Amino acid sequence: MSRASYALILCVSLFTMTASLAAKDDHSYVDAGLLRLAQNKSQQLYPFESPALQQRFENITTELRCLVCQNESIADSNAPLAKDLRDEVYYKLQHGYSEDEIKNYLVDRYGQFILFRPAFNLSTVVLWIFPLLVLMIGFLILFFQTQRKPRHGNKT
Amino acid sequence: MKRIKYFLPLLIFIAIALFFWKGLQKDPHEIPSALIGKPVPAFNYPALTGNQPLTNKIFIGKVSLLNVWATWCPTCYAEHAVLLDIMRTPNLVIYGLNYKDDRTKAEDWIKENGNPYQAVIYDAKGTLAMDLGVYGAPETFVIDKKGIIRYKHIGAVSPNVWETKLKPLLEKLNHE
Repeated sequence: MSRASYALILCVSLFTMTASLAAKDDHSYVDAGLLRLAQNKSQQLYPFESPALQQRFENITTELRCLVCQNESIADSNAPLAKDLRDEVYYKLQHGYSEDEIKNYLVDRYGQFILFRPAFNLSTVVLWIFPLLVLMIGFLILFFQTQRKPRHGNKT
Repeated sequence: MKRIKYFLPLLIFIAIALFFWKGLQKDPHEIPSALIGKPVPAFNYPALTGNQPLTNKIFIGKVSLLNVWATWCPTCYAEHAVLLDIMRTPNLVIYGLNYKDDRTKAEDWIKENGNPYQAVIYDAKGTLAMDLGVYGAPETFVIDKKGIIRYKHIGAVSPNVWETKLKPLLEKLNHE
């Protein structure tokens, strides 16, 4: 049991750790220059009176998935649908909607999939908890395995 | 009993592999609709032809399909022939939602290719489509007699999709 299970536990824990890290980094590989360029572009297309609102617009649009080109945010995507969604977010921000209200509005229509970071609720609980759970189980097995005294007569 | 332990890693591996293999069979572009089980959102839109505006009340009383189409959508051409075939199905009404299209082009398209629709909602800006969570064309909603969305098919309705998915569902809904 021992070596094989250690190897397995290590693999599973490393896998879950990298998987959850990768999920978190999903769309943050943007170099600063490009980001500024995109921000300048959006400031021209979607002018706001206050920089705070402008910032909120950028936050929301980078957090929303374009459903056509699924690994792009609606801020980055050139798909016509992404433009419609940007327009909708812009309109709603200009009319005093909060960030949560806008996100809920879109989730009601397109589902949790539109959020790069799905909300924590009953339907997404497995998604959030599972990697952690596997990791915990791995550590538990590891713990109990190392606690056990080596038996006599066994090789290694 | 001891032996089983040795095979445990292999079994776990097989379980995970099966899980991922199953996941790979799915088309990531098919996003399940968030509106299943919910009524068609209230609307009042112009019809593509005629002056009478269309509202969400058109879906009350009969099982219907709402087909999202546009002249800029090549797949819709292929689908159109299938819709013309199935329009004769008893107890079925097909409505169209013309999505972000040019009105004249859409009218010509209907004239040239035939009209499977009871009526076509003209949604120039795609605002109703957004309320319906549409993210492309074609998409087809199945709506029951009470105006509740029961299913959404993403992509073209092929003869196969009709026979295996939509037709059985419509028959079931007609008996409700």
